[in-house]
Amino acid sequence: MTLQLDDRESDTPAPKPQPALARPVDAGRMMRLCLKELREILRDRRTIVTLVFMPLLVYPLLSVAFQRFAVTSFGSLTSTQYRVGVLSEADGVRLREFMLDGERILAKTKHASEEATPLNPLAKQEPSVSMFPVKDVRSELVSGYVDVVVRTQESETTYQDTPPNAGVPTSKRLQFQLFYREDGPFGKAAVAYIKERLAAVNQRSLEVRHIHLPTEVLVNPIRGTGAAVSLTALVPLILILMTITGAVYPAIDLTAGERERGTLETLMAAPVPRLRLLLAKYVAVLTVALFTAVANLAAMTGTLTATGLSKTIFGIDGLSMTLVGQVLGLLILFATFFSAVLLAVTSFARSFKEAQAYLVPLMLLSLAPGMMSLIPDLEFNGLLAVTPLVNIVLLARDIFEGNVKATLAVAAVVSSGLYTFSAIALAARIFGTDAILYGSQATWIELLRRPKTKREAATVAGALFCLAALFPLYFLISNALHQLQGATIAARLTISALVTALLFTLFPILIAALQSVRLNSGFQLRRAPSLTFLAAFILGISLWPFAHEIFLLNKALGIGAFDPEVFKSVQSFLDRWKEIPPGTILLSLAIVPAVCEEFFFRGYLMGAFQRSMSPARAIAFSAILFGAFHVITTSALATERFLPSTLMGLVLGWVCYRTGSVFPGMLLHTSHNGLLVMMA
Amino acid sequence: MIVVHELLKRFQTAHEEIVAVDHLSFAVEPGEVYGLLGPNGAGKTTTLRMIVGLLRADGGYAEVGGYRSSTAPDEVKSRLGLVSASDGVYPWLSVREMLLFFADLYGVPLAEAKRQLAELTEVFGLSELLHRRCSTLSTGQKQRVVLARGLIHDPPVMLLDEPTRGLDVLGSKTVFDYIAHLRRQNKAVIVCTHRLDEAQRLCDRFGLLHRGRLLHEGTLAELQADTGHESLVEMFLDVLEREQLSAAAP
Repeated sequence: MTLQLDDRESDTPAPKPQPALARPVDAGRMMRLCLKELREILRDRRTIVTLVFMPLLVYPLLSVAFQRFAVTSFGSLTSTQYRVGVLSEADGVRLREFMLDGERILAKTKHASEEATPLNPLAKQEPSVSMFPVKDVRSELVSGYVDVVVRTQESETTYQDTPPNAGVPTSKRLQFQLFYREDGPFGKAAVAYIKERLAAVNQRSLEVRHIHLPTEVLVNPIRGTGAAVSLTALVPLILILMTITGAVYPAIDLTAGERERGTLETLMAAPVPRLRLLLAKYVAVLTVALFTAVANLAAMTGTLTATGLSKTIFGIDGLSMTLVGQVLGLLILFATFFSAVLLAVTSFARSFKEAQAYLVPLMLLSLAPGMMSLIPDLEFNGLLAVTPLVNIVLLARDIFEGNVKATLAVAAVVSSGLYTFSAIALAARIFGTDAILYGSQATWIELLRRPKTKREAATVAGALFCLAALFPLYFLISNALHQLQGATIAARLTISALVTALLFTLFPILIAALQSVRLNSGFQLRRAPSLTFLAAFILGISLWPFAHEIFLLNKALGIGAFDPEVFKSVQSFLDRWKEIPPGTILLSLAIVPAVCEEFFFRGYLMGAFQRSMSPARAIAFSAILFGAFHVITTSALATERFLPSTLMGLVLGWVCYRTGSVFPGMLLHTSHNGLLVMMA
Repeated sequence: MIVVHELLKRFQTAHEEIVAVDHLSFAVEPGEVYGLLGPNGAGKTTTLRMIVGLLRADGGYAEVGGYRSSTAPDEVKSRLGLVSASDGVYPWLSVREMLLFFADLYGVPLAEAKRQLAELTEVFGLSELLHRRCSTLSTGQKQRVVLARGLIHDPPVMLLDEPTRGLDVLGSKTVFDYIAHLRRQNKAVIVCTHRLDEAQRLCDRFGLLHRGRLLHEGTLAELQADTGHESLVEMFLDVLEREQLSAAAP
């Protein structure tokens, strides 16, 4: 693609160039760029200190400090005491009877309990149980007065069901209801302790008397509302802080450090696009951040396991491999995002000192979202799912508590990924400019100022930046629309169409204007031959059998859970829309989405990708993004829509590429959507 | 090979606008060493940066091999080798690693890069330095490595910005030999320096720059005929004196 000549040069004769010398940066060169950055940073002693010595020192020190704190808070070093609340004297008597019975049974089979050691003073003799009368389950648990509350009742009498003894009661069963606080320090352990003894009684009954189980246990966790902080929430915070520590030095050294060393000018004089250089640096920073995260996680796991503190902090199951895996996944997500942010900030800096001055407030700012995981009962909703850093922290919290919503998790991961790309794109825009290279008097605003020269298409970085801004808006507005339950169907359809038009046309136009992208070429609004429209229409109305086959294939493969509740609400929606004029339905569900989505995905996005990658890749990437957008809905992940939407995106991308225009694709998309809507 | 036409660069400060390069035009052919000379602040380095494309020109253009830095920056950069006195090295890489890295940056295939490295090692006497970390090099050693780095991709054009700054006699001699080597290789070379006495020995043609404007241009003989002075130093001093007088005149 040839770039427009600058206006100042338009009156000079065009030069006669020599054969081209510049070679594009292929995957091999990219890898070697990354390896060079990594080699440099890993050979630096300061990286090794942060990577190796700090985890080796910090966690043992923290565990010693925690043990002193735990000993002071929990009292006796020699035993753990579970505080059990009972609602009546009868409950207490029954519980004591069965607990003693169970204890006797277990005593015959149990191994000797582990000895307390200086490293693990809380690992011990058997815990003891103290009972207290309580009046209200919830308040006593929330206040922490007791660890578990027990209520007993006789369950329904069981009958033999075979003649001639039908109707004759055979045995009574005692039901134990155990209430405990989910985020309490000993609730889970106390419940497990009681259950173990009751299970022993049941087992003996089965073995000896061959009758129905004498006890039944119902466990009822409740959520606390007090100010108590869960220890498990502190763990990701510590790991996040340590990961930041690992990434900071490489980020500064690979950006501001280049200028201080005097290598930046020579690097910028090389025929390698700035984005590629920044990507290589990003890979290096991310790698070190991940090494740091793994080192810290390993050190923490080893320390907690060796000292026995894992059970104290994480409950009876301790720090399981599943939990370690989940924490690692979250750290990877966090490191991916934060490394990009660090790089973007340090790219502004002209020296080490300046970079450190920028990073201190950034790190302080990052603590605030980290602290949010400690706020009890903070709901992980749509807005927070797309808020940078907060989404990762709250996702971590919900994973530990075992109540993650898939849609919100995907929204958090996707938005974090898009923010990561945007941060790298921003860094590429700033790094190595003359303001940074030569310390010219340009202000920061000028670095981000609209380019003076018009562009034929957006850059890849610019397009990804637009996408990163568009996705959270799309997600939030979709969520908000979902709340409009009181509005009529016609009103909801109209609003939905308006929002689609705003998001997928006006918003990209605004971004393109800020990027000085020409409207016609930037959105591929070119004339196409007339026959292509006929071909597009025929293609549009003939694709529906393939869409149906893919739907059946998804069902056969079990992709996408077809929730009966969702199906019912869709059916009811379809019944109601028969009252709406067909024109309104076609406009809001077929024409507007088709036109606007083509305008953005093929016009703007694919046009930007075509600037720096092959047409096949540009079509593929834009199709995948198109498919991904169709997956994320408000109520659930519509994974079954990914494959058909992506394949449709490939067809639309190919049409746009072959015709050089978005208009035939708009017709294709409209006719496809329109046919499906009218058939529904 | 290098064509600079009406190049213009302005810098905006808080209080005024400074014209660093003022409608500058000159050309350099292959095998020619062109000295872009002038005192500090004359606009020499700014001119080089605009040729490379590190600074955007406010007017005019610079062409290298028929490509303009404003429209085909990668083609221009592929044809250029830049050596500056402020050039640094990567402290944790060995000399060999750094030179091969730069060869890769310029898209030189590995086999060719190794051949070029072997040749440059011989020319600059780098055999003992190749496996040493760059942080352990002395100033003179570092300068030789930086000169080799400029040539690792065998560019047809070399830009040298104050190449002898901070060097002793031996170091300066290395640079002189380097420039002679470039001439033999038929490269188009621009040397920016304020050391007029050195430039007089090194260069084939000269452009005398002052406050962004090209005052005189030509071979030494042509300049001597134009100005009536023997040496470049005398020519410059004369120009500065006349400027002071005209500035002071009512």
